Amino acid sequence: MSRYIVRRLLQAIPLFLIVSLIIFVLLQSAGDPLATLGGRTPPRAADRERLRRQLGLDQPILVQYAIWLVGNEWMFIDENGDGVNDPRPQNGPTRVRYGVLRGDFGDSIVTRTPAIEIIMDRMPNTLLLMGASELVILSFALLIGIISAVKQYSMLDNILTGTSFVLFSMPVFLMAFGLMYIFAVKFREWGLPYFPTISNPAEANNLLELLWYMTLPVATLSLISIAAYSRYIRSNMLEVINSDYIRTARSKGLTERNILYRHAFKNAALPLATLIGLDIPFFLGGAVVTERIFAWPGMGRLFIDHLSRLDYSVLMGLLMLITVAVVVFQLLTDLVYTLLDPRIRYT
Amino acid sequence: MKRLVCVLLVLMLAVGLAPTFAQDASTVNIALQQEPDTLSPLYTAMWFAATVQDLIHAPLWFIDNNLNLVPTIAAEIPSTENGGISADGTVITVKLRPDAVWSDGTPLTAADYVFTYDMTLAETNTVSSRFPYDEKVASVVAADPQTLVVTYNEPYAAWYSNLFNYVLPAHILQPVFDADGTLDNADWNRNPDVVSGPFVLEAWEPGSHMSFVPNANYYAGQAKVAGFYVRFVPDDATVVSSLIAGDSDVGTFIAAGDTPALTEGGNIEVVLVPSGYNEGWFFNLRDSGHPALDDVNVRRALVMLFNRDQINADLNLGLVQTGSSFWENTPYQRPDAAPIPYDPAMAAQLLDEAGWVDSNGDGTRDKDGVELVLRYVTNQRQLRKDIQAIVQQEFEAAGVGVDIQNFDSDIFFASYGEGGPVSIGEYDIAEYSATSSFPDPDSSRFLCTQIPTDEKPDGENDTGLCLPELDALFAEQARTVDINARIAIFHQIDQIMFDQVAWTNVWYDPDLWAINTRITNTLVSGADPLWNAVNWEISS
Repeated sequence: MSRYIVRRLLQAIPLFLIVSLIIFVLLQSAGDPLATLGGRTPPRAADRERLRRQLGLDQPILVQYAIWLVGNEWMFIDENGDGVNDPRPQNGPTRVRYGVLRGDFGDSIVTRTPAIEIIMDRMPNTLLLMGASELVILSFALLIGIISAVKQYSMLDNILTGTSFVLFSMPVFLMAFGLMYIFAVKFREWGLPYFPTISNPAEANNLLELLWYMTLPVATLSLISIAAYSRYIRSNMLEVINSDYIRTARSKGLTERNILYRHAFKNAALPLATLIGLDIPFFLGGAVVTERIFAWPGMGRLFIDHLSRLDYSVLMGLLMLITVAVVVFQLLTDLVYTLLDPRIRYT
Repeated sequence: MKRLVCVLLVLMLAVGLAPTFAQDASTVNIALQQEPDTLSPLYTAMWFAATVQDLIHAPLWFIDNNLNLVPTIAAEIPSTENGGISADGTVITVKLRPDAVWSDGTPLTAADYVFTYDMTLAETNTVSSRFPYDEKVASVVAADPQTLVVTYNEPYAAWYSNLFNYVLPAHILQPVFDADGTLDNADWNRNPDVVSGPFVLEAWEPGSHMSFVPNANYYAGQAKVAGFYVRFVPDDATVVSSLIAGDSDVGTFIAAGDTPALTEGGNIEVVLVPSGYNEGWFFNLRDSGHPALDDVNVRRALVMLFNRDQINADLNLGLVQTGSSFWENTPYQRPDAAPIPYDPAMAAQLLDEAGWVDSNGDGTRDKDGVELVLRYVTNQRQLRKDIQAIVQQEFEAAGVGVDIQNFDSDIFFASYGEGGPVSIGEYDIAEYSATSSFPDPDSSRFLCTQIPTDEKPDGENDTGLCLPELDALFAEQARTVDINARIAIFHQIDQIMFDQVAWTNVWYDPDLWAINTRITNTLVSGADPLWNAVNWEISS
């Protein structure tokens, strides 16, 4: 097993390099991060040119990629942006880069602070939102999926299925604004307990307030996704509860609850592990639309904010983090399989 | 039944435990669509950053809501009368307030300005702009702790608009620069703990909010509110919802279409703040433009066919008016200016006289075998698309064809070097909002030397208008330090611009701010939005 894990991790190294190069080239081709510098009017061409040289954005893409990867100590740098590389200062370059391979993701062009710090600042918020949403989604989806399967074609099944499809077909922004309008704006107008329009976890003073802030964004993410998950669980459960071994269990006189949860659900949950394993890495990407609408300071919003400024240090950091998470969680999912199904063995 | 009772009990419990999100009543809550990139003025060109910085960084003088200069750290505004402006207009002497101190109590002196100048030009600092110090300024000298002497290379009329809009604390940042060789990574950039403005930063939670509390050592008056709480709310619709719900007191960049919902309850006021911007039509007078546009009477006729008042009443909900100047609602607009009127009959007559008639009976005017069909381009903004559709209808009724084209903003506003359609001249009428060097009226947008070409790929003169007389007037105003003399020159410039109809004002385009009526004494300025934050009050 340990040889298998080491082999998988070694195989991931060239994958990371290829993915990082592709993403880097694509981001570099997306436009000029100095075009506006976020202002209403573009800065002078002279300032843009100076900054381009000082920040090393005038270098060929592959050189920039090499700097991103291994740092800039090996090269001469145009410190003052006059178009001429300066002699190496005695204490090394002022804007020294160590490269990703040594844990330096570079500085944000926007904030001039380390990209990794910016990302790590937002990660807890995203994990909180996405983790809570996943928990709600799984809890309700399991409940609805199992009920729908057990009571197939009943009135309850039809209602749950119909509602699922309605919610699943709603755009996220519509769901978000609908919930905000009713529960944050109108409830306050009607004198009822209300939720805040701006869901900001940093403003919560205690756990209850935090839950209150999280309610609308979590509800937005959950209501739509519960439908997809519950349909998946329903179909898996239906397949399992109609199989021979369940019939055998019934004939042996086991209780329905025992059959359902101990025998049927355990097998029906196996494909669910794959689904969850693939979902978790993308938690790190956050929920772009929901985070934006509720002003939730997570990774999705961070990505969009920095994409609009073409802040490639932060974008590269975010995308590489997701890439690593995908590889790691795929491996973990494979390992979880061995726990859930003893027949599976890796060598 | 038992389950239903349980559910009801849980709901009642939730209602009972529901926190109340009452805002701190003594704090002003602002919703900004973008988070400032930094709080160091050296490293940003961002409007949102500059707006927040009004709270913590005091300039020599603020520019108020009427574009008047209000001395802040300067004891008075330099003028020829008080000896602040030399006879030849090249030396500006600024007297500083003797009681000006940093928020830690350290005296704020002319030496801090010399340090700021040095840091702006320091080769190892990746500052966002070195203007005007690298191009216009010869030297900055501290004659004594309260006297700052700035010498320009030549008389520079716009000196007041960009001379030390901020100052850096030398006693805090000099050691950082000495140690690191740059201020690029100074902690002060994100956490300016020593500042010159009326408020100090209390906390900055990235992606979430900033809070500011009054600076107890502020020398120009004490703040009347307990603080400012600035949230970063990227979505415009959420900003509007938070204003209506009362979660925010102040919001910026409000769309005209949102004003009825905001003002419906009577507790939110929408304020028009001059920003220097005017929505306008740029006619392409270059060779790449339609030949009909070479005739000024045809251009005037096209404007006469365009019912701008109706559009402003219907699509802008009457919030803005048709203007007639590139410097609308400023002293630089010529006196008694009036827009070209909507007059389809006169327009038809002008087009007939210019020889553009429907000679082949296809419903479109033509001349010498050329049909009068114009390429009308803009970006993807819905309001502009709606206007395009209306204009197309109005023009076609008058025998003028309109070919509507829309581009994504990054393409539409791209430079000549980047192949932007307006810049390379692939249009006949282009619509967008433009400004001068607001709050200064100077503009290089109509100079012969700024026509985009292979040799001038960043040229700004999209219309291609080239009049030596106009160039000479622009050059003259740029070196006319006397404000009244400069205004007189601008009145001449504005008249020529109006007569030439190379650009026409579609509407005067101020920023729309929404402010809860519980906040009083707010005089938002387009140049320094929160310039009088120290005087903002909260009514009971």
